[in-house]
Amino acid sequence: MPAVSRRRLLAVGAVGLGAVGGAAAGLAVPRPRRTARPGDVQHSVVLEAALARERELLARLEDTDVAQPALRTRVAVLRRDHAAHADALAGLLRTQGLAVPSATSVTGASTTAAIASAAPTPPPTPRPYASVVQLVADERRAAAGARRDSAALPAAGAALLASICASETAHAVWLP
Amino acid sequence: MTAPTSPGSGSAPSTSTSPAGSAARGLSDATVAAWQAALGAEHAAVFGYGVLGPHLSAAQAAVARIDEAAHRARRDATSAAMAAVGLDPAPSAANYPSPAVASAASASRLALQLEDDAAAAWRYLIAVAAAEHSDPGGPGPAAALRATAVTALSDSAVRGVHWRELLTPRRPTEAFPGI
Repeated sequence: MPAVSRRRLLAVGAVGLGAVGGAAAGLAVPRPRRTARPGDVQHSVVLEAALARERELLARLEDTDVAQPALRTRVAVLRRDHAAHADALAGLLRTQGLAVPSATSVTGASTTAAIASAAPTPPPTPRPYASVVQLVADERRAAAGARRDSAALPAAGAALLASICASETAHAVWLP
Repeated sequence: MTAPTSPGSGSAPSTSTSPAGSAARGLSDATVAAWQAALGAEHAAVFGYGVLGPHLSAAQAAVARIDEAAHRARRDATSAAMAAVGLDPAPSAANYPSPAVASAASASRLALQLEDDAAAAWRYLIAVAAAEHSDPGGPGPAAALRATAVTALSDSAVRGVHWRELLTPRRPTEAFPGI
């Protein structure tokens, strides 16, 4: 995630500088369809972090599904919802003209850390399968993250993350 | 009662539409209208739970009473918050359509519809407030309202799980409550 964010910062900065330079020189250069604003970068980082969180949850649920057949029915419900969350977040990134990070280029890093740090992505740590108690804790953490992200985003992103927060809050209550 | 299908259509909003007035409160007219609609959905939920309760078993009726109390509390808190910023909270509608409740199953369906409608109204408020007000997450009435709306949306999603488990046990949760 941090590496992706840095690339995006550089890319957006280049587009912005190019547009400003062209305007100042009075050149008839094709304008980009949409001028990137500073907030766009942070919004993309927030959305990418949310997508990373959903993918991390899905990976943990996959491991749990294999290791704990007794939880399979519940895990299937969660996997269905989290897969939908990930699809929606990827779709929102696409509609905003942003690249969707590959599943291997993101980790479950927090949004704040993702914004603050440009350090290389650490190697993935092994994911132990989860008990119900751990799954509940995962859902609560994810819901808190989605709530925080919703507050940081405008319009469509805010509503989507709020809905994801509600879904994950419901998961945490339903699971036990 | 046929539960409202659009956010907050259970009662007519009495929104103050003065741009100057809304600006003084730090909320756009569209945000105020969406807030009133969410209040309308809470009014409708309080009414609806009162109607469906007698058709449920004792155990389910107990759950319905808890849910009704939660909506009543949310409605009263919303009205008080509106009054605190100088708005005129929309009252409950004088009449609601008669709900088609004749069995425990139809009562459960209505309960789920009430929760889905409330969730939709609060999610809509989040979308409008986020679109209308810049500086998301910053201090101010819009940010506080969005936080309240996320809580209300989540609460409805949680209550909806109980009724979904009765009606569609293989799909007890929703990926996108309110959408």
